[in-house]
Amino acid sequence: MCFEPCRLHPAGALLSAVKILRNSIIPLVIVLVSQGIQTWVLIAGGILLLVASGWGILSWYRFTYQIKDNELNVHSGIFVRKKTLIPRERIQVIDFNQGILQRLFGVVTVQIETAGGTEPEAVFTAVAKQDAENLRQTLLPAKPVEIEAETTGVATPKASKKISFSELIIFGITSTSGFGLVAAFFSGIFTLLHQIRWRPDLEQAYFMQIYEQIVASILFTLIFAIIVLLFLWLLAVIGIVIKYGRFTVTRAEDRLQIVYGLLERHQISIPVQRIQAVRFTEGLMRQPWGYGALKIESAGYALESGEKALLWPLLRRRELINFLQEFLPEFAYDIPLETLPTIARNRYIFRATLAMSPLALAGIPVAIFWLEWGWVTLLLLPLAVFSGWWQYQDAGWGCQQNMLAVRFRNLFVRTTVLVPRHCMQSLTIGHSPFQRRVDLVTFGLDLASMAYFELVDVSKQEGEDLMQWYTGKQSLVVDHPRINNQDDLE
Amino acid sequence: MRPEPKEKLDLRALKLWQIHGGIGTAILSIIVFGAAAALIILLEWSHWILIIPAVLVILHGILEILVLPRLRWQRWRYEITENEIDLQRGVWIVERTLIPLARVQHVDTLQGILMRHYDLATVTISTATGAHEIPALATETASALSQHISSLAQVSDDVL
Repeated sequence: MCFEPCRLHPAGALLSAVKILRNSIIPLVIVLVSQGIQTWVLIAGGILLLVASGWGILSWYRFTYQIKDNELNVHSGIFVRKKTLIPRERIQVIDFNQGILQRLFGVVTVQIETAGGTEPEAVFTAVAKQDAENLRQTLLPAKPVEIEAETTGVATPKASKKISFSELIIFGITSTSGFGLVAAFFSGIFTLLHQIRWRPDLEQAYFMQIYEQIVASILFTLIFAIIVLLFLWLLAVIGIVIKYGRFTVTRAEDRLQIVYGLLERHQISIPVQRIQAVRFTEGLMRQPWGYGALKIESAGYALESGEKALLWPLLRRRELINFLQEFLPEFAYDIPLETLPTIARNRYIFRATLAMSPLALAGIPVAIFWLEWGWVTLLLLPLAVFSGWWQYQDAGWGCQQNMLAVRFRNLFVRTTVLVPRHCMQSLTIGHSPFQRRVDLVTFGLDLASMAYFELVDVSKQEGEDLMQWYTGKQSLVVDHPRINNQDDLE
Repeated sequence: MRPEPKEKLDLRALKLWQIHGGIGTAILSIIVFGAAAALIILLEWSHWILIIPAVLVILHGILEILVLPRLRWQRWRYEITENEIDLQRGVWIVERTLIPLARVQHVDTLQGILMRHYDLATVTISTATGAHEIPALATETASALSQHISSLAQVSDDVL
């Protein structure tokens, strides 16, 4: 098991060559399109192919890794030689990914991450599946489960769940990319209508015939657009089914393992102790049906990309607590939420209206000088009032033992966050003069996952309670010992 | 009701901020008077335009030298208790931040040229997310404070 320096699977050479070629494909296409197929283009292409494969082979040859004295030792680089030493106990996460090419060769990409930094410390582009499994077992002895969740491994998982096909389809249909398509569709209609209005010759009766033809063609375009839209939506759903197909989550001892993807197989395993917060997000298309997505935030590890943090794509709100009890009992708190004081309602509405008013009022000059339609923007005002009221309705917070729950709405998405007290890096209570007049405060908390949550207009008393809870000695997990040699500071 | 943090900043901080305000005002006056002069000389605008930079500079001076530093200094308070660091600051929006010592990663002190002249230093407390500052403490207090915080933080770390 690689106690001697060893190389990657030979497919690694091919993979890095392919990567170089893929990066140069756009300039290549541009040259081909502009120049046509000429001798020098073919020669240049040949040279590129040679360089890429040479580079691939050389970098494969130079890349060696070795486990020595409890350290992972990686040598790489053709011109600039790089040596990386990663002490075994600092390794936090070992992830496997499998692209289509990798599947063909039965290899996986292994990413080795430590606590610090945002990028993986070491990436092995091609390791045979069994070797990768062994590597993980050696480096991270608390072995989770097998790469393919279907093949029952040695470890006995405590809980495991695989997404059903209907869930996957609902997830695809309600995903925001579908929603974006609808928005694009309506904006398309608006531009079309806009164009009719701007035909200068329409007023003249004797162009009526042309006008009718235009209307007919627009109707045709509309129907065509609807078909295209449905088709695109279908494509989006298929895309999501491919990306998140066979989504499986497994809890094995102190680790969560998430595996998904029909073609490209992603596997993420996260130590539970590094989870900083759990988010339940209910999008506009999911909330009415009682659905939402469950996400986790983890520290140090690059989890910015939404899909990486996805713990379970589609969950009913009332099943949330059961799901957490099964997979993440550390976060399974059903915390009743305190709503905001009534006095906050008008302030929420006022703020939303104020934020929207420049855009809404911009319609007035537009209406006067250019387009009588400009008044339409004034409709944004009642919408803003409604969204302010909605934000007020959904805002809430509560704590239970060592867990804080905060719920808030950003326009279309309602988010509920669960944060353990010891994961909050700091707590800030702030108030503006306007808030002071009505005894309200804003509280904010930041997490090691670089997230910052804020709740505006909580009553001052509750702010105090929250501070009390945060510093509270009554139910702390760890009792800090008293320090005897407390220096006098002055 | 949690009482306000006990400690105030060094009184010399007020002076330092006033000097900062003065420097800012001087830079602002060079820029706005320069712009006004350019308009008068090159585009032959009326001399009355000088009123605008004058008003700007005076307002900025009053705010940044006389009013804000004093308010800021009066508001700024901090306290290090056995479990957390408690900061209070802000003129318009008053903010109170609690940082548990167990969350502190490291502590730095920082000293600019002007600050050295006044024997002042800024203590920066870093958590996993970001940094919080206690500005303008007497150098001695600052180093004692950072020592104190890091020793407490270490103890808390051991416990976790």
